[in-house]
Amino acid sequence: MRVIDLRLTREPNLPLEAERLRPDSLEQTTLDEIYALPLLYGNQTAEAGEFLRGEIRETGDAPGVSLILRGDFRRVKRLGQGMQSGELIIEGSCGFHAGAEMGGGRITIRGDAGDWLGAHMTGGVIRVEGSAGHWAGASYRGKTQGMRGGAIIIHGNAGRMTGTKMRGGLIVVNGDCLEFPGYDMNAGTILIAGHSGRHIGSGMVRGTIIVREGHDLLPTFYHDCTYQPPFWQLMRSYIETQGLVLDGWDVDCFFDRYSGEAMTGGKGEVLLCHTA
Amino acid sequence: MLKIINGALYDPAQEINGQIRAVCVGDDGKIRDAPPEGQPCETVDAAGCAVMAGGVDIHSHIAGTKVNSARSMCPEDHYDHFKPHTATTRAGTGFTVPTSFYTGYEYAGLGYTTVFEAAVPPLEARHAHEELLDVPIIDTGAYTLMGNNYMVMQILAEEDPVGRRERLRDLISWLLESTKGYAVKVVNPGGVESWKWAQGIQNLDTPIPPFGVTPRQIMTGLAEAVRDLGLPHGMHLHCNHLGEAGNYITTLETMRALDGLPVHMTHLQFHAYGQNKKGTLKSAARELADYINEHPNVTCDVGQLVFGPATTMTADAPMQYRLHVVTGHKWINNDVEMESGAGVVPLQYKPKSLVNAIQWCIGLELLLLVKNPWQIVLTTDHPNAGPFSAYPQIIRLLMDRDYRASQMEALNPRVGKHTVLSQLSREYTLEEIAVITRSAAARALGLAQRGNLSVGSCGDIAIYRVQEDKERMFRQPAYVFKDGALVVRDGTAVQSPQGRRLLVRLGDAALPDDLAQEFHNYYSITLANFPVQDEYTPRPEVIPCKKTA
Repeated sequence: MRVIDLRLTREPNLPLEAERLRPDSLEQTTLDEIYALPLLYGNQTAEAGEFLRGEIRETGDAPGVSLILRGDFRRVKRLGQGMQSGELIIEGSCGFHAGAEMGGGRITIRGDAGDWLGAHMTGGVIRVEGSAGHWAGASYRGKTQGMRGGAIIIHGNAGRMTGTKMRGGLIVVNGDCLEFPGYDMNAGTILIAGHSGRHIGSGMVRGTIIVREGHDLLPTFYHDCTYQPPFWQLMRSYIETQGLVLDGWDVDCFFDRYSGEAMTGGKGEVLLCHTA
Repeated sequence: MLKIINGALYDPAQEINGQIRAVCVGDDGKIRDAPPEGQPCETVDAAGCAVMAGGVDIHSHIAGTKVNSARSMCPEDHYDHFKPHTATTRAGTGFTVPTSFYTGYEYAGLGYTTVFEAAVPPLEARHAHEELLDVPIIDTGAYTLMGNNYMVMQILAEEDPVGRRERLRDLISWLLESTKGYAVKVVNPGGVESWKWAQGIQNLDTPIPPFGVTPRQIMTGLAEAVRDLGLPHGMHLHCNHLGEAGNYITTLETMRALDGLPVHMTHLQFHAYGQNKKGTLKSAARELADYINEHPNVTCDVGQLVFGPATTMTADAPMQYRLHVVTGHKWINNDVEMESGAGVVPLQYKPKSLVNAIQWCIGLELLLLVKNPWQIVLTTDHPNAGPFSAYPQIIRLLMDRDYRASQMEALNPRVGKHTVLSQLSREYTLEEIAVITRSAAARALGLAQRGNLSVGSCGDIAIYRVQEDKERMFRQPAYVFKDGALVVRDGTAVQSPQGRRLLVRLGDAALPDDLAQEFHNYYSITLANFPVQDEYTPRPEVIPCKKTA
């Protein structure tokens, strides 16, 4: 495997748009070529080498590229945007649009992620060990479909409008989440293990939102039954394989199933989990 | 002095059909006779090219409140379509609703030099003119909406037929003068007002609250006034029941009711729908085309559908509401006080959708079945049936039978049962294309100096490299000249001059006292703030009215 290990040597004081820093497009690139990559810096174009220094090493025979970025990338936007394969590890926090429109591969963010994390993504896995901003897995304004596949696993908290208009895939928030999770969602699954803000699943057409019991739902959701959904075991073990153990969410939990939103057809569901 | 030599001229107005002739434009921007030998002039060699007058779009939505609402409502229209600024042009974004500057560059980039904004409510006229100021290169004009105007209906409900006609003429003059409009636009006459009263209209004789006038009275009253005033363009009519299955009956009835009056039927494709036994859509293009072929005075434009994204916007608010309910797409509705309504709904036209495929076929059928190209103008009702940037593709569909057949293969397979397009083998010639894209539009608009290359006409000239692929040919003109100055080279704008505003002058008409009182009572602004000031039209060009008896 080709490991590209870069460190942020100078913190940008303006937003730096780094959509070119994605592992799948750096398979053949030399270090000097990486340094010469043009990145939009404010309204100017800068070279990546002005901000990054590092090394390339080969480890093992496994194919693919692992791009490791060390430092505080909070002012660096669009890291891993559109990536289709490979691995991106950010040893620190990152800015807006990380992993947006990605189709495959893996992104690991050791710190926090900015807004629009994994917006419009269609595949791959994003794991955030810190917290994520607003609009994780959402659709850009005006577009009709947000995240369509893949998974976003957030160990910390998430902001507002998580999974807006999502059309597939999985978002797991281990911590708390602000208002409007699953707003206008069309399909897919959102699990919030902590406490969720108000208006869960507002305008949802289909899809599943799972939260702990005790949350107030909108009046347009109505109770169906209490049951043990067959998929829960599978989903729980998948989340564990992604390195997140949900505290108190046992294999044999019961769930209250609510249908809604009645204003938009009532084909969506919110499951309130009787956690331990 | 500019001299274009060696080009094959296509000027249907002068019956010049591909002959190699020189065109000269004087320093005043008008076409002139060839200068005497030895006089210095800039020469452009147009060998291998077709030379035509600048294109004229008779119906397009490019400025005004609803266009601007659509821009803010559809950020998705802007993400993937943008042009950075250059030394001479501004930056812009948007595909179906481009920004104002971008609109000007794109139109000019296709060889169009005159475009009319098709629907401006009088109250929003100032906004439309402000925006048109920022549409560069092309000459523009605006049609003023009157079909659901409270004051128009009030006058039409009056008893005295002579006084009624006179007062209506005065009102129209005042409305056109104060909105700096070019023509009378009528959208779903009575239908919008009726919807505001939570009612619909069944036919042309349904009384409309609050005055009880009928759509027929509104249309004939306005069309007669247009005739009496001698306006250069006839009443620009968007009929009732747009988009409804079986609406061709209303359209035919409307055309019969207005027989002999100056009327332009707009986006006829949306009004040419028959109805199957189960109430679904089928083509009625042949019925309408037959009528048009028998009545040489009727002009229309087609409103050809284009597959892909579109943003429907019209003053026909009830239609937009229905569209929103049917498609579930986002919707803006606007009630323009005493004058009109408006709605915006973004859409995606898909070849696999049976309804869209039938609509696509109907537009082409109309273009192919109407025998005289002078009676039908190419439009997409931009951006309702598709963006104007699709004109080159439509031209190819008309000129290339094989291409048309290949495109039809992508349609919903059931489309053949409801349309006759596959049986039509007509192919347009370059001369006929010149008619439907410029000359016919200019003639219908009463623009003697546009759409032709006669001596004395505007030096608006588009030069296309003749190619087998007509879409490529019309996509990228080699040169476009505006008033004799080069504005587009190889499809890209190289200059950004301000265009003219086309207007009519009808004298110092004032609003009658009783209507002024109504205005005072019910409008949200005062009468003094209503007229658009001259500052909004820094380069006006007054088109003379026809002499009336």
